[in-house]
Amino acid sequence: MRAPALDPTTGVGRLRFRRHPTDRLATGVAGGLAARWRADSYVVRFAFVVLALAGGVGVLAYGVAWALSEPPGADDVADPVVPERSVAIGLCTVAVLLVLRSLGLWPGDGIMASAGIVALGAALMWHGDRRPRSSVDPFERLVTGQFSLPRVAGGLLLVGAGLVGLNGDQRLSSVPRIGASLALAVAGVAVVLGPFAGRLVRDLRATERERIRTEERAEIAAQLHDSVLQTLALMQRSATDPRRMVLLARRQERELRHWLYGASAESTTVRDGSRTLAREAEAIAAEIELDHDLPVELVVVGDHPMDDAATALLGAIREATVNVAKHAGADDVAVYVEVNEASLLAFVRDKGCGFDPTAVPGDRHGIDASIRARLQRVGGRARLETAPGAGAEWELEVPA
Amino acid sequence: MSPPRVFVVDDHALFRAGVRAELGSAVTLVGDTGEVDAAIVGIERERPDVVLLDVHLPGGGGRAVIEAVRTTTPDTRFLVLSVSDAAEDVIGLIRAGARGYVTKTITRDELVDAIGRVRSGDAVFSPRLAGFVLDAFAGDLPAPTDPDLDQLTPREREVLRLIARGYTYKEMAARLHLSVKTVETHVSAVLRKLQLSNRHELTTWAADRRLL
Repeated sequence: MRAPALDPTTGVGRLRFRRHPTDRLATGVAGGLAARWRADSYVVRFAFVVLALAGGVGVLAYGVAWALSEPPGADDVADPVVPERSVAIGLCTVAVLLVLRSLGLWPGDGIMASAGIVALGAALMWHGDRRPRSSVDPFERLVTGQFSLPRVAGGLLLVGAGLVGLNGDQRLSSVPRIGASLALAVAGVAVVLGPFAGRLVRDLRATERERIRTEERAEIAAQLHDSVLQTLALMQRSATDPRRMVLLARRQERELRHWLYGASAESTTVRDGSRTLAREAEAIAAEIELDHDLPVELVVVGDHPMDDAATALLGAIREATVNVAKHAGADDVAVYVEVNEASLLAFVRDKGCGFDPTAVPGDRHGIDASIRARLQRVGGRARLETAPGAGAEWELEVPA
Repeated sequence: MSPPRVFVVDDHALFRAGVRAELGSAVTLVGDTGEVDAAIVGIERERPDVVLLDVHLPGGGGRAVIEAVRTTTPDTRFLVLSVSDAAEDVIGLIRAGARGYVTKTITRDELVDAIGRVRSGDAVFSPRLAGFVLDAFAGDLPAPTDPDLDQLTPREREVLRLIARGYTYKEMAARLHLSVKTVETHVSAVLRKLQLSNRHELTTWAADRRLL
């Protein structure tokens, strides 16, 4: 026997072909054959399937084809499909089927008629769809497609196949046959109505998204109106008082930040809505800025649930900070709170006038005493470091 | 030393104008822009000593600027100026290579000081960022992959706490009986750890916000 001549362009024997690298469901054999014959790959696929029903001839043919095929080439250029060739392959398949029928390789007229109609319907639907198989899943194709003649025709053929199955060959036991027929009919309806259902779902989703967006916009507008716009108006009226302007701006900044970032801006360790040392410290800082016109630079490291120790510490922080606001004449106050394993620690520092701790006026002494007493009750301590002209710093500590 | 050559990248024209007016003679402004692409071109052309960089910019953010010019102008240093002092906003920029971070409420003198520090290769932390670093490096790791990077020394911890307590470098130096230079060295060491450490807190913080 003569060796098959080599095709000069592909380097593949004339009887042989390359499996298709992208147009593939299993191995690319059908895609390769289709490319070779310039036919639609789905026609080839359905031919194999229908022939497989007829005594397994399709399986055998597929095996032979696979044996004759070569691995896919790197850059196979696909020639355009010629529709007549697809039709020719379909007719050849019918001819082979008739031969097989006369040979007795035949499961029954009803089944083969149904299968043939399904194949025809499906081939109509997918005909001309040259998108890579991997990029679009079949269900998506089903619901995103447009109404078209092939689609409607294909769907109706599926319904018809189901009906033929219902009325056809009686040799099979009826339950699976009726089930399969109903499934075919349902599939046909789904194919016809798929785009409609898909569009309906998309429209509903779009409406819902638009509603959520509108609500969010309304909420943001309300928030900005209540806060930022009010503050800007107040600032315009306070233009002659720079200190007041700064405080208005700071208060608004704190409020807006809280609204934008919520709890995450304050505390990284406690995220639920409960009261914690960090949150309460934020609240105190905001309150003092508001009541005493004193900017408070607050830094909190770690967090702690509110208990007697935390409450005492916060009380002491508040008094120390108010003390700064009333007496120190400082531009701002820095408050640092740290939670470690052994204790809760706070520093309240100002760069104001400072004072001589041994010769303080009465009301100051009272505040000092109450800060110390407050912490001593929960086993803590307070230490004050200050000198005239050198600012002041409280170190406050309670056991955790 | 001649005044530092400064380039301002911020998408708020008002803010750029404010910085121009405020810094005046203390620095030489070589350019300003509000866009990422223009910033990259400008920085590569002018080769400034220091870039004042906003966190949020249309077209990629401050991080995109740092990453684009990191290899072409390695001598340019970045100081992040942000309206937000949320740590997650800034951690990505620090890890991309910024030498410092301050909030826009900073006073003029503090800003000039910070620019000078960043220019000479030192690090600048706001109190809030110092607090965040202490938070992120809190506690011992069960198995630090690199103890040199994953843990702060007691001295570094002390320096960060003082920053968080509102101390300037000078005040810190006096309090710790160190030279200002030594304080700067400690802060730079912390910056390096912040940039290179794989500490769980840092990576999850940043990864949560897709900053890595």
